[in-house]
Amino acid sequence: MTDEKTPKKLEERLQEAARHTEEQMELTEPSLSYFENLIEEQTALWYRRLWFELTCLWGMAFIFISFLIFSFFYVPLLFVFAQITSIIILIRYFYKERYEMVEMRQ
Amino acid sequence: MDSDLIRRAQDGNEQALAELLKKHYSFIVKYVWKMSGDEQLAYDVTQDVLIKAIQKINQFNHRSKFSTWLIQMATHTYLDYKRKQKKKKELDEKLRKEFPHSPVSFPSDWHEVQEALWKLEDEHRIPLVLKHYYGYDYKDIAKMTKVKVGTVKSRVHYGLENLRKELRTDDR
Repeated sequence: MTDEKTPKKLEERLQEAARHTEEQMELTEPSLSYFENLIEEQTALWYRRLWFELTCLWGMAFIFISFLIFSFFYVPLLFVFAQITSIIILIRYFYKERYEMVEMRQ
Repeated sequence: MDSDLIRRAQDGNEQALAELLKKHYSFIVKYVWKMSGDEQLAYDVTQDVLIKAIQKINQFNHRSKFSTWLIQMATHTYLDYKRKQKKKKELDEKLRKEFPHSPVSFPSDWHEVQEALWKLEDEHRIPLVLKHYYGYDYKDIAKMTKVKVGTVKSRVHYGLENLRKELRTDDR
């Protein structure tokens, strides 16, 4: 019986502590313009990152296409190997992304 | 209304997003502050949470409350911060010393409880704060902390046990 009473009391004390701590906390809340600037800054950063990633992607694509053309004519086995490897990587990427999306939705 | 602001923010309305973040700013700071006992850390974690919220606003699916979504991000961001801290013991000492100097320091029962709570391990303290400070149920806490419901229940139970021990130790 005592065992039932003690945890209840502690829970009440916790709730009281939560209430008092909340009351005592004095925050400095930034103005709306701070949030607007932060959003603007993050959006600009996102576009910059997007451009960088696209540039890298096109650069890589160019290198790989050149490599594939070279291998197609001179080392056909290497060409086939490259094709299989890229398909495996793509499938893994697809599953990883899908898993992350499902996790975020949950 | 939150849902209206969220929908506008998801449609790309920056003004709506700014209003939404401003509205929840204090909530996040207070949550991290209560959980960690470190005011500066609370502001730092909140800043990161705001950035994540801006980046991922379109991934919010309206199934849970927006505040729950923010708390989930804040908890993970806080844990990441802690993981990055190499000298854990030094940090814990800092947390214990810092709060009494802040405006919240008053020698009273609730203060003792708060102090004792900060002495607990993260894995016990976080579910305890979410359960007894914010009133979330075990299922929500399990989702937020990405552990099983049974694990949450046992962590809350052992958290309360440890808190009780800590308070008895303080009494002596």
